[in-house]
Amino acid sequence: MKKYIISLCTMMVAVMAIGQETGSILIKNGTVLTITNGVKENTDVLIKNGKIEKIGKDLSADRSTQVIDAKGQYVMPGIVDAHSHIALETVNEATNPVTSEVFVGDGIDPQDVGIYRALAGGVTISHAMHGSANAIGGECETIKHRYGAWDPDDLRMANAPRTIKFALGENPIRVHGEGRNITPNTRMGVEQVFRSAFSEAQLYKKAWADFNSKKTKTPPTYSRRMETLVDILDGEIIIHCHSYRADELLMLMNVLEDYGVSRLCFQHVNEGFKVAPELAEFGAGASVFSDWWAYKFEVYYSTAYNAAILVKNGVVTSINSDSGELIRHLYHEAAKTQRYGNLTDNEALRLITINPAIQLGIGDRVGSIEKGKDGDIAIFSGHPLSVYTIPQMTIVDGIVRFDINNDAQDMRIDIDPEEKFDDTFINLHAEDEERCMQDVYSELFLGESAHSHSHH
Amino acid sequence: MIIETSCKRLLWMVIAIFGCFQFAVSQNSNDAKEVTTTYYVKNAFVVQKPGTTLSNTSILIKDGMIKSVGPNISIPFDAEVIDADSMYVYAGFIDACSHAGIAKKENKERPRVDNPGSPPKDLAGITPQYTVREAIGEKLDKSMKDIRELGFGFVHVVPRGRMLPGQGSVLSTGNLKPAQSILKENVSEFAQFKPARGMFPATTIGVMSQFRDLIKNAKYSNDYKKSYALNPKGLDRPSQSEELAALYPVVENKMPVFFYAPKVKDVNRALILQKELGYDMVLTGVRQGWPLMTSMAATRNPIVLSLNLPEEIKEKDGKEEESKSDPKDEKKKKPKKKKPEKEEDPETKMLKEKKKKSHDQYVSQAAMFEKENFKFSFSTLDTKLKDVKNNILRMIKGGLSEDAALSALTTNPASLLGISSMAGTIEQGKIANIFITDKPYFDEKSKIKYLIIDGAVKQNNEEKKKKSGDGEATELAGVWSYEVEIPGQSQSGSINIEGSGDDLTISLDSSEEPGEFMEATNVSLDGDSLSFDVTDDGITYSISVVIDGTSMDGNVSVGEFGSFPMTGSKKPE
Repeated sequence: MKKYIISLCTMMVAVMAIGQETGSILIKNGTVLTITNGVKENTDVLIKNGKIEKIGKDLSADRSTQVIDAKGQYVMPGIVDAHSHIALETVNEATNPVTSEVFVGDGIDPQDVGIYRALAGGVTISHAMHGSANAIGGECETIKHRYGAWDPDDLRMANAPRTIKFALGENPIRVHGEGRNITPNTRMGVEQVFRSAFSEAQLYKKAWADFNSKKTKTPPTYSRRMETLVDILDGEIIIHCHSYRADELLMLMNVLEDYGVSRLCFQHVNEGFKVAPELAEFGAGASVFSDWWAYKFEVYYSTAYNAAILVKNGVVTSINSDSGELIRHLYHEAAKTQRYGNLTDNEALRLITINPAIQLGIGDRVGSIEKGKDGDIAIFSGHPLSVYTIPQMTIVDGIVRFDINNDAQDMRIDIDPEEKFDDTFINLHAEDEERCMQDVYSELFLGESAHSHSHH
Repeated sequence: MIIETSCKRLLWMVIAIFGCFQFAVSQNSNDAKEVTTTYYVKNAFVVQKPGTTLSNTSILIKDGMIKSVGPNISIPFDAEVIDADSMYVYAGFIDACSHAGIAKKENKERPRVDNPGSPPKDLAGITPQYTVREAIGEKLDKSMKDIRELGFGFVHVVPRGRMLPGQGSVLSTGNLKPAQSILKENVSEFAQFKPARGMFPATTIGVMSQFRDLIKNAKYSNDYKKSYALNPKGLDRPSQSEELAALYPVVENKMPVFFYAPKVKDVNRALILQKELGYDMVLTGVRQGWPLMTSMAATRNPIVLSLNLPEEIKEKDGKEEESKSDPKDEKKKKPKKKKPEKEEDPETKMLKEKKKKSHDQYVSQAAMFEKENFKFSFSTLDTKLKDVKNNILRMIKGGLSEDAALSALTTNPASLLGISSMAGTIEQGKIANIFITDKPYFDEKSKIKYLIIDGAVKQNNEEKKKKSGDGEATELAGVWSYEVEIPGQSQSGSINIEGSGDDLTISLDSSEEPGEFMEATNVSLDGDSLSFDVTDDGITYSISVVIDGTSMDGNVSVGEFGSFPMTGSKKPE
């Protein structure tokens, strides 16, 4: 028994250490798609203590470094998904049109097997987002897919810029306007929610400044909602806004211009192609689906050429998943822009690597294979834009987190010892639902139809 | 018919109003009578504290206190002697966190609010000012007696609720009147990651955010109130928020937050909030904390582990089988068993192995914490009381030492709750909450023979045994007569009980309409406690009695009208 306990404890210590760990790996003789510095045949990539140290021919490493033979395979930077809801316990705090006080990072679920599934598609980083129920939703978290960790803290990408979810159009109108008959009940109302919130935040900021400089003596009520809005006004937070229609894209840019806010990335942005020059001029990013629309009224007008048009107009564009299923083949999604828009290999690959990294404010740390960047790598059997390619290995911070040759049947970490087997099967084989509107119906409209297909 | 109904209601109402005073007085006089307040526990193995067992030792108890402990104490003339030869005496256990004594509120329909984004604080689950005294109300819930019978002498009770249900108090399990039970009032602020229903905070992330706002505003408000007290001239009047005021002791580090953190994610979240906000914290109800042991050790927060373990997976003929499969299913399966068993599907087998491994980790959590030198306590929060002892034994099988288990049940919670001078060991001057077992407590077959709480014998299984002969379970089936004491009058009738065990059918009539039997619902028998409901003319009578041989004693509660004593006896066949 004692022996058993000891082995159990050592095992736990081993598991606990996984999160903070970084590793050293030498990947030999692959075709290296650097993204920022061309394609290099028969080239080695050396990762030391989690960082890319060298890219070149005939590299060698010390004994402690794991060596991987990638001959005939393709080595690319880990894929970055700028819009995802995996690894989250809750997605929507749908009780108010403005909930900038909440932070989905408080609800990280490192045991979500969806993280492993994403790794199996070469994705090393995802943007865990609040849902789109509110005009101003909660803060989001950029996570690294260090699957195997127990501690939610181990998933957070240290020092990644803060981001927040905004939402335009039908979702906030349906939840708050139609649901409770409060503002916003129209698209104009959504604009008004932004303007009121920012104006209130300006007053809040002034009230605290007056208190701190002893102009006033009574402390204002502390409000995380206002604190976060003030930080947006101060440029500390990047806005990621759920959006479809061109008129609304222009509306939000006008509002932000009025309040002096410039850090913005539109999500979905299916009519982005209509106002691509305007987006480029503002400096707003666009994170789109490759070829998915017409799932509700406001998104009937779109095109599979959206990404290509945005790219050609100089907009920093990415392709995202917003789904635990799509996240496994973002490389296919990127490839579609070659069929619809004739993007080059590198332009297409940028859509799932450096561009989403730039949109998340981490473009200087990940998204390409460059000396000094994080050792996040995806290795494919063929070119990642080929329909025949198969992901082989995914590395995060120099540690192999997915290996197709060592892929256990059940990769769940946290096993409920009381779970019934029927439930286990259901959970393991269930398709991930679309989660943008998760929690909204169960929490707020219990009894109403919970069938809300694809409310993106 | 309608007139009759309202007459009946009126009658009850009149009774309830008139009865109030009389009732309170009579209850008082009933309770206080003890034949003696001096007890002498003779010649026992006294487990004085974890690791120290004194043999051939006696204990003198007087007026609720341990007067002396030793081998040669003289027996006072007025002492009732408990012959405990070859028996074991333990200090009453201390439950470090529980809702014992507080009745569960029925699940009401979710309240509708005008503005779910900014609901009233109480509906949002924010009532840090609420006390255990208020939560208990007039009468301690039966769960307090249940927990006492397991050997618990003290309980740190926290209110039920949502994110901030209120403040905890330490109660002795001896006295069934709340005010007299409270040993130490408002010692903690209870908190949990439990969202409100359909209003802010409706999610865990909402709760986290709301918690930050509350603590920060309590800090500002507390500081401001102090400067106002020094010199109010020209200053706005301070906030009158009861919620914030209740949190002042927390922000001044004078009152710890007992954060309910069963799962590893809850532990992480509680640690995040504490790190940001800087109050004293106790992690409580920890069921799956081992993956974060390192961070828990670094913060030096006291830890209260949960006594709730996953359902036992027993190994049988080298194969795992779930212990609590439905007995009906088993019956169905029986004939099949004779057939040669099929080879198990490999996926099922793999899943079973994983489940077993996970199960074993939960069971050995306490051992892991012991190994890392944590001084943890135990909590029955969310634990089925009938499983408590077995779960402790399972933890011991999983590697926990008996001394550490006993410390977690006595000395550790005593020091955590600041009651070490009153409780936790069997020493002179401490409150006489002890229990006596026939074998060492951690022996699977040990039974509690005597239970002395606040210096009074609460349970004497030796005597009970003598009364009911061979001590076998009472035969309930038959016809019983009952009487309900309602001030100014009494009501009687008979009760028909058929069947046994879990399969009881009960009906009841009254002397007003003899022979008009009404079918009872919600029948439940737990040990010698029987409870059931009878509905007549839209009024539900909830009856709960304790059966002792051929007599029953308890009460009937009649919705809003209150609760009335009920006695009964079995009619000879």
